[in-house]
Amino acid sequence: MTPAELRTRIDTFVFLMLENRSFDHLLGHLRLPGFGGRADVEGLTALDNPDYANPRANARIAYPFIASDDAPFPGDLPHDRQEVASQMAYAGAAGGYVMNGFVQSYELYSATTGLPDPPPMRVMTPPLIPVTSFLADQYVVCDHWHAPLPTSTHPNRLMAVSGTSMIDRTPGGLLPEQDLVFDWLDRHDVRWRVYSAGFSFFMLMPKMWPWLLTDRFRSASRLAYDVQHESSETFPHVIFVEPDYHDSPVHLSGHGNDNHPPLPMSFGEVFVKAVYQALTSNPARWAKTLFALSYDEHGGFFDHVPPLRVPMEAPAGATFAAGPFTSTGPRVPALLMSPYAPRRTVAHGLYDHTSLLQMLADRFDNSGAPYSAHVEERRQADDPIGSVTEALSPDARADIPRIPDAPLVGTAPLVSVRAPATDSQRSFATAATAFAGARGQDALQKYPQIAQFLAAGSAVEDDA
Amino acid sequence: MTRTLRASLLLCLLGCSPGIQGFRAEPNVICSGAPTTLSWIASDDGMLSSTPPDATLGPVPATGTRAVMPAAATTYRLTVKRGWKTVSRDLGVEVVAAPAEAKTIGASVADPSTTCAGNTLAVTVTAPASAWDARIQVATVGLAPGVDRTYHVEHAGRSADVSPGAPSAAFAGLPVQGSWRLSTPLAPTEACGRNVPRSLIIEVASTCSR
Repeated sequence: MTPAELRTRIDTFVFLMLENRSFDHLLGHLRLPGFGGRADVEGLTALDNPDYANPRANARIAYPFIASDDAPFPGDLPHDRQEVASQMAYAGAAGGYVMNGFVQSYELYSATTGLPDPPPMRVMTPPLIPVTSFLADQYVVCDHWHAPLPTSTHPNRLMAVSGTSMIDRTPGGLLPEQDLVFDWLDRHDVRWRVYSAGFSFFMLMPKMWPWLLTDRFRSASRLAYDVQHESSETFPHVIFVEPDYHDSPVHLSGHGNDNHPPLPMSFGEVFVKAVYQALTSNPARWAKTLFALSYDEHGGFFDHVPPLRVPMEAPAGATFAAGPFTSTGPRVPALLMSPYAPRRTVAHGLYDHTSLLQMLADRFDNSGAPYSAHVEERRQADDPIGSVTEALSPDARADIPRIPDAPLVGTAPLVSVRAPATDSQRSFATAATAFAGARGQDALQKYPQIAQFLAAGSAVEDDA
Repeated sequence: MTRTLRASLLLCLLGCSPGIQGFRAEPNVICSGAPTTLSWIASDDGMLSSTPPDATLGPVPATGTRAVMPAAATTYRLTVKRGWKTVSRDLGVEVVAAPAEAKTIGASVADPSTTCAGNTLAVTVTAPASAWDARIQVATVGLAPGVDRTYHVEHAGRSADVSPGAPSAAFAGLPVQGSWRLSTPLAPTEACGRNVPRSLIIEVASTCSR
């Protein structure tokens, strides 16, 4: 589809970004014999392909293996900047990254040895991820979509909503001020809205606090009603749907649903299904909608495709502790769902999260200007990052596939309030506290999770 | 006390989650029924369990060691709990049970031992003595599945060329532990810095000495 075609065909863009899974981990099975054998997908050709061999510290080789269940992981997998570098494993002899340091990185991080089935090599299959598998079969799979930066969550999410990042690591506190996609949309008079299933990631950005108390931020449970009933005069053009982040300190449902390990996939599968069903519940509106599902970064899971050569210097005013980036991160799963996303199709173009921003520029900036100078730099890199516009067909399909009912097998202990233990979790907890301190009762009324979090603080204080 | 301060206190009080600083088995590739030592350092007393189950395991102190003698491959789990939070770590112990059981070993070409000069790519694979039971011996050395090239293999003073479908018995009787130098000539489509194998791997048929 061209930008001109996009302008006449898509009115509503819906973005959902889940957490911490690699392409091979979730969708690599698509190419395996026994799971479809789709040679059109850059997936796993055979589990014992020597290219996928990951040495352990004891020299024993670990290969990708088929997961037997959707059990929770013992803990998180390593995915900070230094750890991602060791996972991608630059080799001078190969002149590039050889993608076989995932298992040793995990062994070092988890202070353990010799695991028979190392978590980074786990490969999910359709019975364990029935919703993702169904949507991958019915719509467009992007098999060269990378995390923009070879580092952890917060810098990659900033790339997704800004096109650049002032940080190269996830901090333990609030995020720096940056020009955000919401600023861009406001400058272009484009209506936007955020639907959150829990704490909003944008609570980490003080400049967004005024918006958090407005109707621009709604509960994800409102999405279906709005899709079905809201007037086109007010319905947003750009919608960000947020999961209940695992790293949030409070979960009113007892668990997150963003697929961040140690969570099983089942909670996220239920959420993706709910979002898809909400969006397709109004066929007239769906006829001009694009739903893009992606993951912020690979989360420490194995992927066999080397990163793209897309360098990024620290933007003005920022300092990257480990110097400039020379590449993207590993691939992440990405699906495009729309009447303009043909069934069982693969988009082989080179994409990252900024490809969504450029698509917004294609649609809403008639001047043909790039989304931003930062995004344009990525479009001019040795491995040029494309716009998602290119991955869509100009021809609409008439059907609306319905996700069949399927049992979801993964479970995890319910934990409503949890002590923060990682930088990302501390970041969420700090943001909730600071937001409530700045906005008082208004914040607590709109986000009762914060009240629960603070009440837990009182209880601990009393116990102490 | 302000709400912000209370929440900050929460972060302080609950930030001290339980932790496992290390959980290891040495050696972790052993002969069936041979002893190996589990060792761990954790923040709190914990629980040791395994798959398949071992009825002798159970509560353990925060720091300790434990000798076990698994007859088959076993995954051990250490679980430590503090307040609301539980953490666990798994480790695996591999067992050589059957005669001439294949064990695939190798190293990434990102390893610092890698050299690429002229027409030859080489890397050193280290099977650490701390990880490999000294009684595990080589029967034959072959190429791993999918490897379709010739390797020159050096180990413990011996050397041999290994080709697809033609394992070598030149290393028979030597312990697997130690350094293996693997080298391979580059194909016409390969060159140093371009399109070389991502790792060099061999399949060592292993057996246990009596």
